[in-house]
Amino acid sequence: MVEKDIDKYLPLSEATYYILLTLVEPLHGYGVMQKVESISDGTVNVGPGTLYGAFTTLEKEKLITMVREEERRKSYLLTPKGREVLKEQISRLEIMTRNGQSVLAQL
Amino acid sequence: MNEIVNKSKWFWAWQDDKEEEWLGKMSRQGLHLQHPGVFGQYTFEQGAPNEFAYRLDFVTISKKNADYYQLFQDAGWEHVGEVGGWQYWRKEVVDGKVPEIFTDNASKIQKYQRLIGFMVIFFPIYVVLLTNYNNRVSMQSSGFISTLYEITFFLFFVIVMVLVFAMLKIMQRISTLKRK
Repeated sequence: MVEKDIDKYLPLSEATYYILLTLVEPLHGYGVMQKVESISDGTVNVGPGTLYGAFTTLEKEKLITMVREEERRKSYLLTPKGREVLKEQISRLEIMTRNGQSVLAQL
Repeated sequence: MNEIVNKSKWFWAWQDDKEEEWLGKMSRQGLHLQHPGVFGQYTFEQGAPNEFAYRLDFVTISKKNADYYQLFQDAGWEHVGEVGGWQYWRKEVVDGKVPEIFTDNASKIQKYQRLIGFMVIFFPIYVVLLTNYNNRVSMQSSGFISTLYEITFFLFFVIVMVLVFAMLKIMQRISTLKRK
């Protein structure tokens, strides 16, 4: 069951979600850190210890893969499985946002 | 050449946050860590007071994990040294903004899990040594040798107790982090 397989990775933590978002194109660690900070308007900051651990875990789970290593910097990219997980997370977030919006007027 | 200042201070494995704090305090006094030493012997270089955030990571890695060091350095962290798997990192505090190497609880928990995993490796070794010594002591008749074995046995026993205590302390930290 593909569905079930994806479910076990969800929900993604805020940091993991942003890391995966940036890896839609190959990027090395520091690139990920900078991009996460800029696309989240500075709300999410990923430290190098957290990122190194996330890379290790996500690579083991085969959600990302190393595509390049130059000057001691490893670049990663989403795998097809990683894309599926991310897609499912985004659609769940959409449902959450839609529900939130409908209640927001009453708050 | 700046003046070198040596200081002894003991921190247990579960007091890494206290150690980070102490090193930061030293930097505000102008004492900047040069080498973290074994058995609590620290070497500092006397310079201008400057505020650094010191952070300790626990990773037992080889040179082939050069990407680990590179990532931290790209993010502006300076590697000060390594003692038994503990990696000492520092970064300047700018405008009161304290930098962190771990930005979520999940990764802090993983660090302590790595530490426990490392301690567990030594556990069977000590237990085997203890059992071995215990058997030998009971076979010895000579007074002096027997005393020597008893002392060694006692030392190993203390090491095992400290190890067990350390593991419990670290597990306690993990569960506190999980509750947050």
